Amino acid sequence: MRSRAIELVEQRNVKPETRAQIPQFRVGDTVRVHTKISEGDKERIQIFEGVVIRRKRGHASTTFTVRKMSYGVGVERIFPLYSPRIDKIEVMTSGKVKRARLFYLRDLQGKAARLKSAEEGAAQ
Amino acid sequence: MKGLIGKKVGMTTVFAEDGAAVPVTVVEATPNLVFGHRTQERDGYTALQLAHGELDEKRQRRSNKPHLGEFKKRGQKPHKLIKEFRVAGKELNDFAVGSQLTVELFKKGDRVDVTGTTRGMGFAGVVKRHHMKGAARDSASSHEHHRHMGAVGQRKTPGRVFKNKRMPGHMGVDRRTVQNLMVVDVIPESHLLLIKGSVPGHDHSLVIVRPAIK
Repeated sequence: MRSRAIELVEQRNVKPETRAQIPQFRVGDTVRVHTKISEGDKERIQIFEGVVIRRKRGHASTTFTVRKMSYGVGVERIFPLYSPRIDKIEVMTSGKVKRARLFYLRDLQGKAARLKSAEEGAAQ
Repeated sequence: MKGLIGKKVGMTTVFAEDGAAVPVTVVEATPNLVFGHRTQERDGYTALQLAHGELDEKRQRRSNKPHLGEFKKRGQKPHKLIKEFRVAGKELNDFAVGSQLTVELFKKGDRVDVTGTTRGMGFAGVVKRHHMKGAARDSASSHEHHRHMGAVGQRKTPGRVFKNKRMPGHMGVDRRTVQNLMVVDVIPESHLLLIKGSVPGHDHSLVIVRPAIK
């Protein structure tokens, strides 16, 4: 059982309001993650768009992994879900998948690496 | 060195102001009672006696009379545990007998040393206990040898195994101190300290938090 003190610490650190702002998304969805990048004293937003291939649950340390192809090279980034460095997350499309972890996408390229959209999958 | 007696609650992750994820151990230190002083004149050394964990009525019934008597004699509320902290004689005046020490002894950014009793591993083999590599996992290493150690010595000279040769045995339940941990946050309302990194012992075990000596 998790102790109340730990819950309290996590609640103080990541406010429930901030938590509520995070949209629902699942493995297989294509998302756009807006991250804050600080260069010197300036701050700008960088967007990372790709498929969510893993969601790792762990209370405050929950993370998700986004995979995208960049100039023909597969790039994966792991984001802490509650990180204050994430400005916002946009859900672009939902994919129909049968697995919780889409590591098989790493072995696929181009057309083979596409996912059916959730609506399409449901229609079948 | 003055300090606080507390309880390790567990670990979690918090995000720093710059967004970095910081692993922290949560230590709960309910106010420590200044139980008494050790003085140069009477005891030959100076120290602060701190008591931790106030006992409710039920717990008082379970404690023994000599322990409770110590508190009664001084007209203080009974606590579970008394520990001494060596303190310079002139510092004693800052902590009056009967007053309380709270987590506010520390502030954000302070460096602390944390002492605790490590988790018990029982009778552990050399791989876990001394980080030896063991033998190959494949079939080349024969029956039950995979996590064994290799040779323990040489030949006729010296004809014996050296003392302190690292071998299997009891591991854990040792008093250990981790030095120079950073206080990430202090939550006085709930008597909590957030300390960066890990701390010896299992959850709910007692730990002693002191200002770092280095």
